[in-house]
Amino acid sequence: MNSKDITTEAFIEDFKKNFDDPILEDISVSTRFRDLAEWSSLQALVVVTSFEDNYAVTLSGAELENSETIADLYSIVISKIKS
Amino acid sequence: MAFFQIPGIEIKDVAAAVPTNSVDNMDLECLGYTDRMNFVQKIGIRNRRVAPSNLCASDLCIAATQHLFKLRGYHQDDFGALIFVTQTPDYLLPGNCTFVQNRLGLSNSTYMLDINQGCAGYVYGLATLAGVLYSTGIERGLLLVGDTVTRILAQSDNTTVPIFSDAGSATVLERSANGNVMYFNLGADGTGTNVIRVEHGGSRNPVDKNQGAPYLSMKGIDVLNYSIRHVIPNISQLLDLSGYDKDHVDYFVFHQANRILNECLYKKLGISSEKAPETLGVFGNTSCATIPLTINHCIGKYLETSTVKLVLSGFGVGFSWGSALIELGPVHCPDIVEI
Repeated sequence: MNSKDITTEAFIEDFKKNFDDPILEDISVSTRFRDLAEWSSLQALVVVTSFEDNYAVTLSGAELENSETIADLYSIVISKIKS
Repeated sequence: MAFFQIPGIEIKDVAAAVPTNSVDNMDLECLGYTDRMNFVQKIGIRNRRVAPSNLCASDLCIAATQHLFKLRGYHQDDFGALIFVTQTPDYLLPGNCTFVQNRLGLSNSTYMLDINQGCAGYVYGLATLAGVLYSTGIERGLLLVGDTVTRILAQSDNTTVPIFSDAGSATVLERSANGNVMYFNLGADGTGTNVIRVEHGGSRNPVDKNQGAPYLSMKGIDVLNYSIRHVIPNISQLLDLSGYDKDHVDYFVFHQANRILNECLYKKLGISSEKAPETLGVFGNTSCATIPLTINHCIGKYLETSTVKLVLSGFGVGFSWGSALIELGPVHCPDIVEI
């Protein structure tokens, strides 16, 4: 997969699919994902698995821990696709 | 990689025992109602068996063995080897084998070995006992695999409490002129020692009175990543080196970790979920006992009269993993004992 294929908009749409909460309509790159009402250790597992499925990217527990926003997650995914 | 094959050994019986006490994850107090719903739906674990404080893994494994003795007419002297796989032994020392030998009345000349292994433990135990029978000429051996992991959980930890469950198993192996070849592929990656760990209670970090009881911690995302990184190539290699294709395999019996992880493995390996029996919903993650429990519960009746080709795959604490390609059946799988 080419990293250019994944826009921030597409990334956010993929991210939203992991949640049931309709409030996620307002989500943006600056959203702090831990502030989402549905966020939990279980949801973290769902999101990391979706990165594997969608982009064949492995996000470590430490990388997730050091991330704050959707933009942080996007940067990691893009850099891993490039490498 | 440790790929090897052992000929002339057959599995004759796969028995299991679980505590009577069943806990419903929808009743868990450490999670809110929505989180409980999400958990059950996504992780796939609804009911778990939780042993009372006086019931150990050894008791569960002995109950499964005694059930077999009664049904199959085995005598204590029929067994020349005993292997016990657990990470929740009765005592730090001596190992569980000596207690089991005494309680079952096995001979003083029994070959005995305790193995400290977790979720990959059934495959490691099977490989070790098959190897012992093959190399020593001992005719019949008993493989006991079980854990009471719920005993070492911090009750406030909502990442481990809803996952783990207790069970024990007993598998009988025999030398046989007609026994097919068993193929094994075992591995480990010591960079993952912190992924699942009980930090205190060993010689490195003894327990002191201020720390309370030792408890298990688990980094779920890293378990997922280690599993994807190692289990998939391990199984592909097992099939390649043994000369089989995944279409030759009737069932893939995976360690029952959680549904997200297991379904990710099925998808990446190209296995349909119909070929991967599951007991997560009814028994949860019983550590090293998930594989024999799943064989017994899901395909045990069919195996009484049929022969199937199975891939077994265990993975977890260590980080370690192991897979086996075996032909199984007809084999005795008595009803699961509840004590």
